[in-house]
Amino acid sequence: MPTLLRLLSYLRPYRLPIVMAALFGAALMVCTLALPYITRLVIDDVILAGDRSKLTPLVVITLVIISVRFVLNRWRRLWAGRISLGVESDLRDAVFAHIQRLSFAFFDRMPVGQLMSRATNDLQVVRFFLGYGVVFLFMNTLQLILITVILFWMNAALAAVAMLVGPGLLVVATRYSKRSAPVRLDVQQKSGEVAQAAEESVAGIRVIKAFGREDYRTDQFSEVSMSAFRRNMDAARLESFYAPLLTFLPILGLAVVLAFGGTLVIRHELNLGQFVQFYLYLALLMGPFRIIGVLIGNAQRAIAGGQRIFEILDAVPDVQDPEYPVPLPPGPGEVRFEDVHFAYTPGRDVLRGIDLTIPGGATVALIGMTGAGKSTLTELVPRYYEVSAGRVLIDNTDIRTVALNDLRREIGVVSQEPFLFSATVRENLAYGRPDATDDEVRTAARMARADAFIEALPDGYDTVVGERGYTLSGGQRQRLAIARAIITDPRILILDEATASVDASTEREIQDALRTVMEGRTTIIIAHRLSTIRLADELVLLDGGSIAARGRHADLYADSALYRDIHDTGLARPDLVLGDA
Amino acid sequence: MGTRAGTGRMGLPGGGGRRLGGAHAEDDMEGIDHPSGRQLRRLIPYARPYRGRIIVALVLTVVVAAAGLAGPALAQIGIDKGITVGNEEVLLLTVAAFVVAGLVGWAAGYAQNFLSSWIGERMLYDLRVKLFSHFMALELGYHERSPTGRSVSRLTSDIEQLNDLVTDGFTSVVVNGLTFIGVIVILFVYDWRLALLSFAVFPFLALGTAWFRVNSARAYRRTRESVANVLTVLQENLAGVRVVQGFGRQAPAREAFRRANADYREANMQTIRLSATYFPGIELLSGIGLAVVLWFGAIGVLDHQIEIGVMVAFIGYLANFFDPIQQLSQIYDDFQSSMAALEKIHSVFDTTPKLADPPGAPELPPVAGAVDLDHVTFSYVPEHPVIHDVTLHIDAGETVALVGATGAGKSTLAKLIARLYDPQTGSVRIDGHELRSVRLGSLREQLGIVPQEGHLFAGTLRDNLIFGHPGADDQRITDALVAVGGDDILETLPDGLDTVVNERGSGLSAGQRQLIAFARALVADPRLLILDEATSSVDIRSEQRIEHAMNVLLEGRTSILIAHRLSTIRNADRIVVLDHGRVVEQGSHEDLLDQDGRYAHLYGDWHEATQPMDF
Repeated sequence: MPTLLRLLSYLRPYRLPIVMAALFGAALMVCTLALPYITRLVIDDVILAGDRSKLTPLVVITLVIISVRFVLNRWRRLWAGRISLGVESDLRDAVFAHIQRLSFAFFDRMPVGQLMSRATNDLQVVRFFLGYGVVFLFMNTLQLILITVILFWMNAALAAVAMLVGPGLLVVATRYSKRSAPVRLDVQQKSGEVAQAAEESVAGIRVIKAFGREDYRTDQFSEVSMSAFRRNMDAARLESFYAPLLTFLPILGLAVVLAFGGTLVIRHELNLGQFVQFYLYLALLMGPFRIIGVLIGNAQRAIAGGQRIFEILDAVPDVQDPEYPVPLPPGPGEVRFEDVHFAYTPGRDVLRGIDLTIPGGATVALIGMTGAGKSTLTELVPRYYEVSAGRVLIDNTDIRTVALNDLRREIGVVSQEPFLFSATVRENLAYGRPDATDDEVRTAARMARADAFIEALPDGYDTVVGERGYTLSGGQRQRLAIARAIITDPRILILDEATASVDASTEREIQDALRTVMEGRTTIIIAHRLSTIRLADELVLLDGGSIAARGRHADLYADSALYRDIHDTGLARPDLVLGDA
Repeated sequence: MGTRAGTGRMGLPGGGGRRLGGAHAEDDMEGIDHPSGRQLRRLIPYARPYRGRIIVALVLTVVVAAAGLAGPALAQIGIDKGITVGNEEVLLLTVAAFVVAGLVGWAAGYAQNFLSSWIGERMLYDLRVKLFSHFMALELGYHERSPTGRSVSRLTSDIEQLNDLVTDGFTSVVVNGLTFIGVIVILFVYDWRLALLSFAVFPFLALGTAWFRVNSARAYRRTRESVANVLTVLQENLAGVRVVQGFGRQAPAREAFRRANADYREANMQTIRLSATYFPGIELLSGIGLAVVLWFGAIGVLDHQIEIGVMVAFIGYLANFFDPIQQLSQIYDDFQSSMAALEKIHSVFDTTPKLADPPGAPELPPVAGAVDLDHVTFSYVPEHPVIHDVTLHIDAGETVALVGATGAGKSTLAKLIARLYDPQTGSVRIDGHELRSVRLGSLREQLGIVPQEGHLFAGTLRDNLIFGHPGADDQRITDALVAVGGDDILETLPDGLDTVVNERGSGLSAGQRQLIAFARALVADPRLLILDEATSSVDIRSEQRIEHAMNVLLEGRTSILIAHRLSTIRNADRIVVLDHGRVVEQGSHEDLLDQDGRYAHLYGDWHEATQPMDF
């Protein structure tokens, strides 16, 4: 069971706590097992022998043992707790750290909903098992073994009779474990699907309401939930059958001992005290069996959750740091694409043989139809995606030879829908350079023409924005993103122009902002507007993943029919937002 | 609509529910005190449909508890009446009874376990679906105010939190409670003096348990708060992972997460310290009880006041007496978390949908599509009206373009017509039917809204296209795609209409999603169309096709356009210019330019920004 072994390997750093917990646990067990022995002595040596003098010492010993047991138990719990919490937090850290390393292609495939569900739901079941389960399993197994040894030592014949049910127990436990494994995986899977369905409907509530399809979505959700319910019932059926069975079989053992041992006592082949003691020890076996039954269920749950977590941990980032990174040499920020090919899915090339050099400090506007490859081309520069063939160079250095963080520090990216963290404006602006002074933050904001509206916010630069904060308009968010991008003073700026929801005056402010921040940087703009194209030194027209034409407006207009078409019907056509959305 | 940006479309299910800090935190704070009785009582209606099953489960629970308790009693009989007096027959009979009790326990345990799981899971299923349907019923305003992640965690992690309570929790309370009481009764029946003596530890037990509850309630609250913090950091860094990587800030993000994680760990350690004192303490008391029984029991047997079997049974039952207390204390934490989750779920139910149908609301008959707004005033926040006393008539079949600057109220006006909100004063009528008086669903069936963003649901492209008109055939779908100029999308997709798409990725560009949204509206074929014009994401050629398609789409139906493009505005039958929530001008493009008012001013702004290029 490789998943289980792998899960157990997370216990490795806790060797000392495990040994301590085990030692305390074992000592504890000895104390617990001593008590029935004392009971026997009381029956045999005091009651049956009619000797009252031994009673006081025996009771005093009992009191001593239970006091010692109290201390041992306390320490055992503290050590075990340390293991369980440690493992949980290690695993969580590992998952988080790994997710941060994965590349964009991974996040395109795996919805945030699924990731969250794995990092919480699945992790929960794993830690339950690794934390408490393993320690419990150890203690209960130890108890089983110790009691078995004691039983044989006390009366081998009687013990042998009692152990007749042993093989039965083994068979039942194995079958239970085997049968519940696939069912458990199903249950975890389904609960992930429920989460995804919920997330999607809440996120798409506008569309649902627009079409009045609330009932339809509710039916769909109820279907998914119902199938989760069914899987849960499959699991419950197995658990309900096997778990009590694991309690019943030892009862059978008890019964046999009662009958066989009782007969021996009646025939005076065994004395009563020994019999009672034997019986009490055997009864002590019941607890461990019940717990082991529960633990088998837990283990299966943990394995199912573990598989889903390992799916994340095993995902190999397709963009990785070079083994021996070289520093990016200083330079003006020249960007060169050499015969660059790219495909999101193999066989479906989005870019086909791009050769393009953007001189340091120049501004290039990418234009083209939807799906022409504009965004994709820009996303190759900070290595968000890896080229399928060809190479991308910055100042004559292949970007694959540079450490990712060094590379990205030199590139400022402003996307269409910038993500802001739930933090203050200041923290968001200084995100790329947390040590930026107030002055630097304000300067960046001023350059991005964001200072005026920031100061008008309820708490100015200390206003909390993002999902749990003050809501900003699209234009405001984009200007914050521009300020955030330039605070690291990157040599290259990439801007996916947001065109929606911006009115004419905001548009002008963004243009002004761009003019300022482009100064002294290589800038690549995915342009949607006529006015933006005016900012560029050169236009690059993409069509079907290749460069169809490039040059200045006049040249392109003369040479390229496609450009003429786009220009006359599109760019020159009034497509500026009138008013605001 | 411009201020909606921050609520994000990225949903985050799976436990991101508890958030601390931030503007939305107030209703998410852990309850200062949740009257658990009230929360629990509200669960009763969910149990009611399963009354029969619950009664059976309870009976089975009693059987299981009784079968469990029968063991030591039978053993005692076997020892005293069989072994000590040398009667093998009695011994074997009791052993047989012993086995039967075990079998009954197993069979009843099986049925009881399964039945309680069934009841619990079924109740959760009902609760979850009801909650979902409540979310669907809540007006758009609610969803614009609450982050997606929060609503989702109500449906996922909060419901799952109740799982242990409803499946095992109640059963466990019943079984352990019965066992506890049963043991007391049995011991008193056996020998009331010995029973009294062994229960002498009871006051200490009560005190210790009280101490544990008070302290653990506090400690567990801290762990809940710190785990909430862990989830918040996790969620945000997942949603913003592209930014984190873009700025190379993985290390600080990891550090922040590690801190939150360590804090949670420390909070948890506190609960472990408490348990490490309490539970061994219970065992200590149980041990003292044993010592008492040994001492007084032995003396009693020697004085011939107690039978030896009784003493053995006492020792056996004593463990059964302390066990339930431990078990109940163990589920106490779970109970607390469940109550916190339940409270959050109930607070959703307590939010009444503002647009509920009046009981027995009549259907809206098929309409021609004439719209009347009559002195309509509306505000999102009291005393800040967004729409001021607007009176407007739109003829059936007319195309009206709403124009105005940010915050002028265009989207709000459109939403009032679609009854996504109700006005505070005045009325909105379609063909003379006051919108509030008809069933909402029957209104929406005749009304199509094309929002700016083209949200797609996970499923096939076909499912998405027939969203507004289930059962539409492929011919109709293809026709719609052709009409909006999106038929070439099919060619680029591997499985055509059967291609599985989702919210993002899947090879569809923003422009293609926009086209699909258009086609989706066309398939629905509404009488009245409200279109929030997308301003940019469609490329120029598609734009032309859409312009053409829009004419097809608008043909023969009343259309209200939240317009951004001049071409759209020009083509409208009438332009309605809004300013600060009032209608300031209406008329055709040329008329309005001639008036040289607000529209002419907006147009001038725009015109200036689109001067011919000079390179």
